[in-house]
Amino acid sequence: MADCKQSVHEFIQSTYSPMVAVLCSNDAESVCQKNNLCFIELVQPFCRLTSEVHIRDPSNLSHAIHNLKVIMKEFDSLPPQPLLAKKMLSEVVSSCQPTPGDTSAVMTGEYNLHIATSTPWYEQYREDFLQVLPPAEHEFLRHYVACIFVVSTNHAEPLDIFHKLNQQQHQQQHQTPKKLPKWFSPNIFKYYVLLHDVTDGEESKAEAVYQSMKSTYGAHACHLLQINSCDQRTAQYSSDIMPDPWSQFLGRKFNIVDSSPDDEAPSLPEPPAQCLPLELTTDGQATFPNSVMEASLSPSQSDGVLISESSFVENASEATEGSESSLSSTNPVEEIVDHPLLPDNEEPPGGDLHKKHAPLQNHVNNDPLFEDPLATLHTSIEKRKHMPHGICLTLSDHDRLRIFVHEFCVRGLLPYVERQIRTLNDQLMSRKGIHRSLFSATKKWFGGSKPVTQGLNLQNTLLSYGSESPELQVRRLADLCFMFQMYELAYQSYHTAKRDFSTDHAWPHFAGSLEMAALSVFMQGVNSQRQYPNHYMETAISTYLSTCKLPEYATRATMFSTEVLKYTSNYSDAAINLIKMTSEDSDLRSGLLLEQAAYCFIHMPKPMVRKYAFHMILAGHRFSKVGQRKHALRSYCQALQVYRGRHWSLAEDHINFTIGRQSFNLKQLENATNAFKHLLTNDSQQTASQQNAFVREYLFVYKQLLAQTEQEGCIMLAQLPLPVIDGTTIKLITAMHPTAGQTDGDEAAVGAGEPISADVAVWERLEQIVCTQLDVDAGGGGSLQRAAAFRPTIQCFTQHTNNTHHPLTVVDGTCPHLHVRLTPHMTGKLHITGLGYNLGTQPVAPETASEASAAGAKPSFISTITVRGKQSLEVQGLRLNSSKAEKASREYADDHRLDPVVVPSMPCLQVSLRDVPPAMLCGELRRVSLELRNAGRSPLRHVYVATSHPEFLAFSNRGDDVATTGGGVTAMTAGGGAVRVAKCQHSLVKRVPLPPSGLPPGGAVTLPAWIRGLNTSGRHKVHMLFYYLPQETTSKLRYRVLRYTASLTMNDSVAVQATASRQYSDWQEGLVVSLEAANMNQVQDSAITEVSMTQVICASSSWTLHPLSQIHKQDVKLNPAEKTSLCFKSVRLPSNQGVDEAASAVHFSCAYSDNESGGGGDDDDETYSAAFLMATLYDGQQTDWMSALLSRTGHPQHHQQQQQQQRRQPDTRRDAALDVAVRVDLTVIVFWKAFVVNELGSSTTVYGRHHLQVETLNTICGTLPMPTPTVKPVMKFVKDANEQSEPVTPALLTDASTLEQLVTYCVRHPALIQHDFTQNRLCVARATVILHNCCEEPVSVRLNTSSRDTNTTSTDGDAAEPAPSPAPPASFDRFTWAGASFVNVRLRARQTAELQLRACVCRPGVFNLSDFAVTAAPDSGAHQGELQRPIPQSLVIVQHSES
Amino acid sequence: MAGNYYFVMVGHHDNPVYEMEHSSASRSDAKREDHRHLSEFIAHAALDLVEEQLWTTNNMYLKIVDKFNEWFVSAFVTAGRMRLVMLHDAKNEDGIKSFFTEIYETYTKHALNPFYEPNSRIKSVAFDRKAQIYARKFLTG
Repeated sequence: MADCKQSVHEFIQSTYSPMVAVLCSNDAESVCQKNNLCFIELVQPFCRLTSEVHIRDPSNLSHAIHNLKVIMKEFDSLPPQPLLAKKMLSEVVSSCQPTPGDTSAVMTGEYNLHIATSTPWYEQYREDFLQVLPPAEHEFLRHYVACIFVVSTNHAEPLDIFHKLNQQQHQQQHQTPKKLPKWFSPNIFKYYVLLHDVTDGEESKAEAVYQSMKSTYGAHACHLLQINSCDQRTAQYSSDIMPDPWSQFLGRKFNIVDSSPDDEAPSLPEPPAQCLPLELTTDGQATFPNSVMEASLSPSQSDGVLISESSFVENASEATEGSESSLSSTNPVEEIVDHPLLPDNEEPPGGDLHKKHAPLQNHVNNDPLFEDPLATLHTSIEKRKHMPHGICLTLSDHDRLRIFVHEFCVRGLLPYVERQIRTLNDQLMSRKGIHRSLFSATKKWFGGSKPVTQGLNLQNTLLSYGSESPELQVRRLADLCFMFQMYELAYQSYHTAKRDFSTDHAWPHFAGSLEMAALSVFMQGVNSQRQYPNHYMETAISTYLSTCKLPEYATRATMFSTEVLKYTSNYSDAAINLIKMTSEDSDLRSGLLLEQAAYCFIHMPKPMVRKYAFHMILAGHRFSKVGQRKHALRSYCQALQVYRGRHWSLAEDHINFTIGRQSFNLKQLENATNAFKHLLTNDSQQTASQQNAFVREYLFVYKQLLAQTEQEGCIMLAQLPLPVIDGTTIKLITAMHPTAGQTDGDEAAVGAGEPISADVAVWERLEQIVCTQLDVDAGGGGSLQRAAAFRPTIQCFTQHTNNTHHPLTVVDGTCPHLHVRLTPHMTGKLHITGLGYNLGTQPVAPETASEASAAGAKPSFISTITVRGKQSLEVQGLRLNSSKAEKASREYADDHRLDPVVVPSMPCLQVSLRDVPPAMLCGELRRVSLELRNAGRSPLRHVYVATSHPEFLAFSNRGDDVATTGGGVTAMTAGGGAVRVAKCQHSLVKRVPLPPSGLPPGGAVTLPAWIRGLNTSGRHKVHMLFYYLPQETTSKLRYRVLRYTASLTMNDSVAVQATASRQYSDWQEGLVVSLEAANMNQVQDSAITEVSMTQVICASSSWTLHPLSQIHKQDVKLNPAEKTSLCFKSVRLPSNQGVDEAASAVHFSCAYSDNESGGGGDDDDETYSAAFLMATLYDGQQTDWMSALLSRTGHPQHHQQQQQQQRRQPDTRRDAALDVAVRVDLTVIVFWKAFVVNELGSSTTVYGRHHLQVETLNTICGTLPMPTPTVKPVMKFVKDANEQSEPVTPALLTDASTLEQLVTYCVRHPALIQHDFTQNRLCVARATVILHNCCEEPVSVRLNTSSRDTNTTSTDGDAAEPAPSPAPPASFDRFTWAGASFVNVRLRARQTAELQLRACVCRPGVFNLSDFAVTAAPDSGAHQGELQRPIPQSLVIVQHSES
Repeated sequence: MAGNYYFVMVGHHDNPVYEMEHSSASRSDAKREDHRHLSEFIAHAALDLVEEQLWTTNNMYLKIVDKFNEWFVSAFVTAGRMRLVMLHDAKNEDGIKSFFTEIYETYTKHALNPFYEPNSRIKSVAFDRKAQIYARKFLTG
């Protein structure tokens, strides 16, 4: 559209050029046929004058006519029949396709579009549309102005023939009823041409005939045209160098009838999906509205005009063959217009002439019977096209032809036209005064009786204008002027005519005049003193359209109007005009106009991209309806540029679907597949059934594409859009997944070894512990460095793991658990790039596919379609966030998740725990068996296990060093004596006692093991990490791990808690241990559990436990919800052993034993008990470990604690020495048995034990987790500057509670003193204070008798009075210490010292001799010392006794 | 005013941020389904006219900016240049204005959410519920 071939002026001018009929004799035609051309074709290239000619108007002014063109047509040429015309138009459009590179880029805002620079199909259509438009009644523009008679000299009697032809023309013009063609005026200009064949004819005869012609018809009306100067045979050589001016005219013309090859293309088979609302078959018109009205109100379609269907050719577009006759019978203008639709019009006018033509055509195609004129035309054209044209014509012949046309125009036509104009003008001028007013007056007078409705009026006026009526004469004059470029005169005449027609209500005439008046103004161009009257055009269009119901003329007017508007850059009006003209009756026209409108939008000063796209869609829709597939596809593709990727999903779906369909119909399978692929997006808003349909469609098309490419021989797997693979969630699992055969009934309770676990942190920590531990054991000193370099084994690579290294995997070991199992058979590097698979539809049966049945879908009639394709796997590493650049941009780490390295074979361990009950009591002991199997192909050497709950699992292997303690425990239970055992394997990592040879490939071993119920009830997961080593390490992979998780339910049993506190009765260092046991079973619990305690054992390196009371002789039975408490005395072992030995030995002492139940189990009990003890002893370690673990996971509280611990670091040794004062390190083991009666009534006896680690004095430790008050650190928003700079004084480091228990002391004195106060007023009571340093550090102790504790001093001087408060010290009498009020003593580690004190009592009474204060401080002298915990009162009674 | 409505909020890249259909009459549900994409087309095409009209007034509410067959297109441009476009087949100027104003406020609140990325599709259920409420309130009438 942007660049038309011709300018607007040229276009209008050439459309309304004078038309000349040509009547050619048979012999003349045969002369022309030598050149493979008919006469019209022969002359056609020369029909435009190259020089300027002049014409005089009525006022004798000369007007220049530029490029005058005459349109020559055969006398008998008729506008094609409507259906034929329609087909021709549609073919001309479909045959005219854009050239590929013919686009220009348009950038507006965010849009970057490629837009066709020209739309030749529209220009072609427009030209042909104007040509097939039959000449109208109300205008004379396309009526023949002149007639040329052509006869050749070959004829015997040329003059006779001229006469006959003349007669024929006359007959045709004046026959009634009038038939096509139409003539401009009764006496048209006639021109006589004698055609002379130079090679064949006789020169003299030609000259003679020409002379007689001149005498008959006048010299100005005759011409002798000499052609064929070249012989047909000799011409063959020179033809290639001759210019061929005909090809452009002929070629284009013949293109019209080229049937498009697409017509034969099969349409899609019956759409596979039953539910395609977007279907684009011809009946799918619901998709888009057919009429488009926007931005301006549509002219009312129903204003009572009683006009039957228009006779326009395109109007019959939707009419079927059968309705043709009815259409023609209702034709209102059949009396006047000899319409081609009439059935009796089969024989065209000048039938004899046609007969003359017939043999000519037959001569060409040898087919006397041609039912289908198009087909024969086609074949003949095909033949003619390939023969050269004008071979007998020399260049001088070309000149002669040119001269002929020039002569015809200048000598003949123009003078005739001048005369005509003058005559018409004179006629009008003379009538102007009287006649017209009279005429109109009479018309008005009589017109009163006429029906007034416009429609009838229209018909009547149409009839009423005689062909010579003055109104029509005005119009005739105007048209003549217009044709010969006297635009000013034309405008004036049109204007006059317009007024007349308006008053007469002759609407078509009126509209026609308006249209032409506007064009006249426009054609004057810059010279015009008038503004282009756009409103004339608007009125003309709307009158044609709504009043006259002549849409074809409205269309014509629109075509001109829009061109003019575009010329004046008035694009928006042009677009509106174009849109207004789109209607239901012709989809092709509507499509073309909409497309033009779209281009108008994009060419606006501010391009309306979205309007452009929308109208492209509308145009494409029309094109697809009318079968213009290529144009439809092109339009949709154009529009897609705007809609793509902007998430108008429904719109985009529609476009893609249409593109897919049209591409498929055009056999562009690849494009179709791509388009359909776009439909299968992630966030489609279509309904399920619609999506289903899309998938089917896609598969169907894709399958065809595959079949096609296979034929072509290249088999390439294409990327499939479905299913969506989320690359980030791809996991690579390098662990062996347990096969089904290895799990049996018992194992159901235990979680089968899950390779993927959420507790990655726990596993990693466990693995790190094992590695570090084993490193340390192996004597690798640099464990810290090792620990830093430690990289946990990752069995499951996900988007959260560190994938920057290539995963290591083992030959025969890898089983990516996605859906794919890969078994590498050789070492090397493996790259997993994608998945190839079959994508297909399932035959949807209603009972299986609930979704389909819910949508009300019928079972599909299409069987399963399966296509093969691939999808590449794309993974993205973690987002990098360490450096500033990485934070600012989006950078991702490398991800080698899918590129594992395959290393040589390794052993592969499989573990199963058997006989594990689904539920256990807390603390219950069970014997289980652990089965280890080597499923790998190389032998396995060592297995270690680390668990998250070290107390859970123990091995009872007699070969282990634990076995040596077996007897000890038995002895202990029997005699209650003290037994010492050496500490055994002292770590969280247990070595699994394998046979010394290890496990050969395929070998299995079953080990007895013990498990103990965890302390807290509920469901637990116990993680066990089996670390194993191959016999020889060859590959990068040093070891492998197996993760095993057991999940168990724990039920409540007994809760035990113990407290140790100092005893003061004796100077000896002793403890009182109180034990509280509660049966946690509630009365309402379904299972009844009665617990009885059988044994209490103490395990400690420095303490022994002794019963305080004798209750151990009885059964301690606890019913549900009962509680009991026991007290024990603990004595420190004489510390005569070396320090090292003490640290590594455990002393067992039995405090309580239920003799009846004894050991309560078989022999193995003892061994496991010892093993468990070991585990429990390291509970302390475990808590450290757990806290470390938590800190790893970033628990804030623990982090705080760690910081504190770190701060205490500088003085650890001294602290430890001081801490000894309060440290107990005593483990109480409680053996119990429980009778469990479950809800079914069956009872079992269960043995179990609890371990209590008493660590420090005066703290409660229990089996149940204590609700520890969480100390929240003070939240600080500003960084405390002092915090770092503050000097760390060692004094502050040790806990205050420890400092005040550094020293224990007691007072020894007689309980009763008899004193005779009469003899001596003063009684001196002697008391011995025994001070004992409990810690491993010298301590300086100060005994202060002057400062009494606050309780005592508060009652000073008031001793006689009974104190109101219940404070006990108040009740004691007052006395005075004698001697030094401060005594300083320095005590070495564990030293005991005695001090003598004297108390002066002056009257009998009860005195508290512990009324002094002891302060102690570590022997550094730096600080004051801490007040030690006061001891209980030590009372002395002083009696007065008369001696 | 009863009628059929299609509301779309268009982001800065001409992308729909939020779409809603509202029909007071249930008669033509089946037909609506076929025309859903047409609504998108019309609304999208109307953006050109919205941008044209934007400069002719100080108001955010632009009234009817475009017509296509039986559809009217009303528009509202927020201060942040979000374009609220409404297709309707019955005239209801006041109702649509109120609806736009309320939606604008709701959107403003929604946009304050730091987890909402501007110009991305609004998937909030709360927003949806509010929109439905306002549609019932102002468009059913």
